[in-house]
Amino acid sequence: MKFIKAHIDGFGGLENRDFFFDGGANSFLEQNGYGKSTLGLFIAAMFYGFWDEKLKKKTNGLRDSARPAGGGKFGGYLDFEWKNAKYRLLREWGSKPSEDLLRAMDGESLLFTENLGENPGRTVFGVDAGSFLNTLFVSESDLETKVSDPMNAKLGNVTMDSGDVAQFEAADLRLKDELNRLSPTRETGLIQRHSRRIAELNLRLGQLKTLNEREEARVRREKELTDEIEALREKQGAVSEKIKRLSDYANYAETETRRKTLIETEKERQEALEKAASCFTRYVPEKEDIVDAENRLSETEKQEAVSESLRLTPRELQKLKDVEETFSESVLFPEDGTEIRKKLRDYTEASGKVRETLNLENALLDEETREKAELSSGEKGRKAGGLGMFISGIVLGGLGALLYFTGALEKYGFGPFIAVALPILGVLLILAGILLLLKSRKKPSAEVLPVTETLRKATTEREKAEGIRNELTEELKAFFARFHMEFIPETAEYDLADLVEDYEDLEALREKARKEKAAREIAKAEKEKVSAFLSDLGFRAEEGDLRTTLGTLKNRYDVYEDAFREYTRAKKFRKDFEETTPADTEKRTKPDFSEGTAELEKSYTELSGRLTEAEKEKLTLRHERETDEREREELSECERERDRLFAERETLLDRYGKLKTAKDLLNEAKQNFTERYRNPVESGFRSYLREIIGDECESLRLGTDGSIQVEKGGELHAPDFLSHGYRDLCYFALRLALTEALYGTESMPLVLDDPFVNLDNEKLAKAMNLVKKAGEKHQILYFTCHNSRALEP
Amino acid sequence: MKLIHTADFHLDALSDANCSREQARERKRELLNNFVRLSDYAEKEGVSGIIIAGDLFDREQVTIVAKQLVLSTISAHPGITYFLLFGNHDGGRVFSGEKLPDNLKRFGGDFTSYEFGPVTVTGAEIEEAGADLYEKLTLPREKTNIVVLHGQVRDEYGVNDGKNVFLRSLRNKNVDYLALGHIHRFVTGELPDRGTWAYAGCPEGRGFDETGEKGFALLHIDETSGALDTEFVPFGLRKIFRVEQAVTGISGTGELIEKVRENLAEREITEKDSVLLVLTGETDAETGPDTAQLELAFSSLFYGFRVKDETRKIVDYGRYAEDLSLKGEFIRLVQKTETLREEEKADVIRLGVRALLGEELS
Repeated sequence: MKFIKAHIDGFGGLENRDFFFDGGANSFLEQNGYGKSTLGLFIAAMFYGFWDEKLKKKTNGLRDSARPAGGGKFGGYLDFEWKNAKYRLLREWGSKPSEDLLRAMDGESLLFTENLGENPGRTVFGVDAGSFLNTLFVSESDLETKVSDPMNAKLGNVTMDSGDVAQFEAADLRLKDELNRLSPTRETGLIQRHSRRIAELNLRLGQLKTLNEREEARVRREKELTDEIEALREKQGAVSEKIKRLSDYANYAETETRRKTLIETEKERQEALEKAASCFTRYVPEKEDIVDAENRLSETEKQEAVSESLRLTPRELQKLKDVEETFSESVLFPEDGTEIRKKLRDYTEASGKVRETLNLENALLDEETREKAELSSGEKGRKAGGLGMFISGIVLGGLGALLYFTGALEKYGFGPFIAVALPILGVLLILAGILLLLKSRKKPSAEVLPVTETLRKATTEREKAEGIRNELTEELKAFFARFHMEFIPETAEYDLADLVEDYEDLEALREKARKEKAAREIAKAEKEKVSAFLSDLGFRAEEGDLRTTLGTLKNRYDVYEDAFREYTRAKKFRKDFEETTPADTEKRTKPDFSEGTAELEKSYTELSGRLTEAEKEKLTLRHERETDEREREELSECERERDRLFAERETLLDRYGKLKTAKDLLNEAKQNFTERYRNPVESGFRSYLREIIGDECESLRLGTDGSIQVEKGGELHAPDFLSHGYRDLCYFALRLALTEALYGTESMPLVLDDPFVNLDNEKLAKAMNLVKKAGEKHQILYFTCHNSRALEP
Repeated sequence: MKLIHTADFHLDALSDANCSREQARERKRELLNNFVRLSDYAEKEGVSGIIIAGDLFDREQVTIVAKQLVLSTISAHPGITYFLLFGNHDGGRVFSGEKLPDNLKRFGGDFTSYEFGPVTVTGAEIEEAGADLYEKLTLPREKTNIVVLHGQVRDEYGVNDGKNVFLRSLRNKNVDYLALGHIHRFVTGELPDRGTWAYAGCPEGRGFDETGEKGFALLHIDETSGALDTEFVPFGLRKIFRVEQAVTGISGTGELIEKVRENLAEREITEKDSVLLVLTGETDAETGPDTAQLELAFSSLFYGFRVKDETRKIVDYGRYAEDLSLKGEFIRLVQKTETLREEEKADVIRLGVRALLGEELS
């Protein structure tokens, strides 16, 4: 496979550029910024597109860095030869993958071809973008990076997703640890621990069988005991019956004596009862009647005492007589006291009013007399004044008329005026005099004085008060007269109080007399009933000795009652005896068995003992069962645990098996992988190293994990042990070996982007030789920016 | 008249091995109490008889507590007749030495019949019976006949083998209702000539392998005509739901948890119920669903929560065909290993790849 031409419309800093490639080593010696690395990336992108987008790295992606800064067409094409045919890959990238355009064409006809598939990189190189970049594309920075990576990562990283060969040891260890953790054979293995615990539990659950056997034995024994107890009880019953028979027979005579004694006792008690009853001539009273009579007699005595205490004394009798006389004609009602007291207050009030108004009248009369005298002297003065003014007016009027008509004053300027004024003045004086005279002519009687009016009102009030007083006087007189008393205003209050007190006394004495009478009557009635009761029984109860008679009756009754009780008891004893000891003939017959009482009693005791033992054993069995039940409960838990552990162990064993398979297959895969890739790689690696460093290469080897190891002093060291330049050379040799291992005999182009910047001249020369040697097999695109590292033609 | 057909209580059975000791005890008590609840239900609903078609107990050696609870419950419901058939788990020795209540009727190795109102209840414990069991069955044509058996139903002829119930051997035997026990879910079918057969199922699921609605069969019998109708009555105190979740196309545990949450929310599952989450569909063999994370997310929401991964692990071998890595080599090698089944290959690949990536070996 080889590249022929690259045309770049726009990619990074390169625009509208063409690059042509020969079949061997192609050297590009250009300054920094020319776009050497960009061309390398362009070639990779033509085959794989922007591979980082498949890794979902969304920031700072290749697409953004490769997009032409000035805009314009983003893409180009690459012509190459592969498997004896020419092809052209054309790509135009948009702003996002969905806008991208990829065309694979036949290199000769430029017609579309499907030979390169959807992923030309994978079709042509047989690996993904990551593997391509790690083998055929070597950049300065890439080499720098690889220097820090272990070799096995490089091998593993032929796919881009992980350095899983590097992880092999860790993975193997992890699987081993997990297998050890689960191990069915190791002491600490989970499956082993489960197995041990299951064994322990099974051992313990073996007790379940014992428990079951014990329970079965217990059930059998319980049944036996139940039967035995039943049989023993039956036997014991039979023995008991025999003992009883013997006892009955032995005690027959004694029983009969007892029966006779009881009958005789009953008879004696019956006679005693009859005798006690004969003390009552007519009939035996009921005890309740006697008690009732006693109660009645007590009540009689009590009422008599009450009557005695309430009897009126002679003084009370006299008082009663007196007050009854006072109230013989009229009754003093409760409201009378209040009403008469009010009337008395009204009377006193009316009398006071009369006195008060009389005094006022007298005073007013005096004042009236004085005022009338003053009025009379004023009248006379007015009459004289009026007459004087009238006469003066006539004189002045006549004089004026005379002067006017005579004209005596006409010679004077004011004469006419005076002649007119004088008559007018005269007329006015006449009118004033007439008025005064008219006023003085009014009658003095027609003018009412204020004092006179007051006097008149006082007189009216007095007359009204006198009316009230007189009316009350009549009523009070009538009231007191009802009780043979005279109304004396001065003592009326006290008289009324005495009257009320007397009336209250009368009422109290009457109530006392009534109660005394009632008690007396009750006592009499009760006494009559007691007398009647005693008479009915045939007792002669004289007045006053009822208590004695009743005491006699009670004594007789007590005797009767005792006799009755004794008789009843004797009768009951006899009856009970008859019932419990029937006089059947069987007991009189001698039992037909040979055992004696002692023998039977011994047998009975023995049976009781056996019965107790059997019941005790049954109880013990019950307790044992309860204990076993608890044990069974515990065993149930063990069974549950065992089942759980068993299920878990099954799962763990399954997991263990799969883990083991996974570990085995992973190791096998590692072995295959190593054999497939490491051996050819190691062979190529050593061959290239020999070219560079001669026999020194013997100290370098590839580890089983694919890492570069340096042997020194009998020990293997990491490549860090080497100088920087050696390391770069080693890794370059390894990359060449790896390329050949991956692609076999097929010639693949190598893109070398100034990979030897760290080498000194000596090593650089060796590296250049190596490139040239590689160029014999592969097309090489070698980019550098320095003459010293330029590839000689 | 009403009859209850029930079976497979498995009283005294061990609880799910993975639940806590406290939860195991609680479940044991609850399952024991189912017998009391059923009896109380029967009394309340006026049910005349309860047919127990085997496996009332989980074993022959049962605890005193279980035995006494059953006997005392039967004694406490004298109005109900209990027809008890032992199955392959329990047996006649359960009540050995015990005085049985009068209202408890038992069956034996040969067919035993009880006239019960308008029906005849006949049963036999097939484990104890001989090969000629079916030949011995004679039932009057004019009666309503209920036959009680415990075993695996087979739609074929056969002689009694102590395990299976051969339906065709019951042809022309005048069976109207074949009350069966052994299968732990309600299922019914037609008998060859007349009548039906039915498994009542267990009254309540005991573990995650017994999901779905559980209960018993309630038989309504017309006392005049003898006609018989069957009704399934859900009865479990707790339910165990089987919830399937397809994982195809779901990327990541977070999205899967959300999908499961939505899936669960669509169902009427209460906190006293249990859930068996079954993951279906296809997943990448290298990763697979994180079942532990799912259990952590939901276990506190329900009485029990278990995840079962039934996904098909897909390995895209084509992706690794040209992978020049150790991983590619490993996967190709696993692919070529003929001794491994496909699902085993997926597991081995997952383990190997995770080991290479330094990830948890789950």
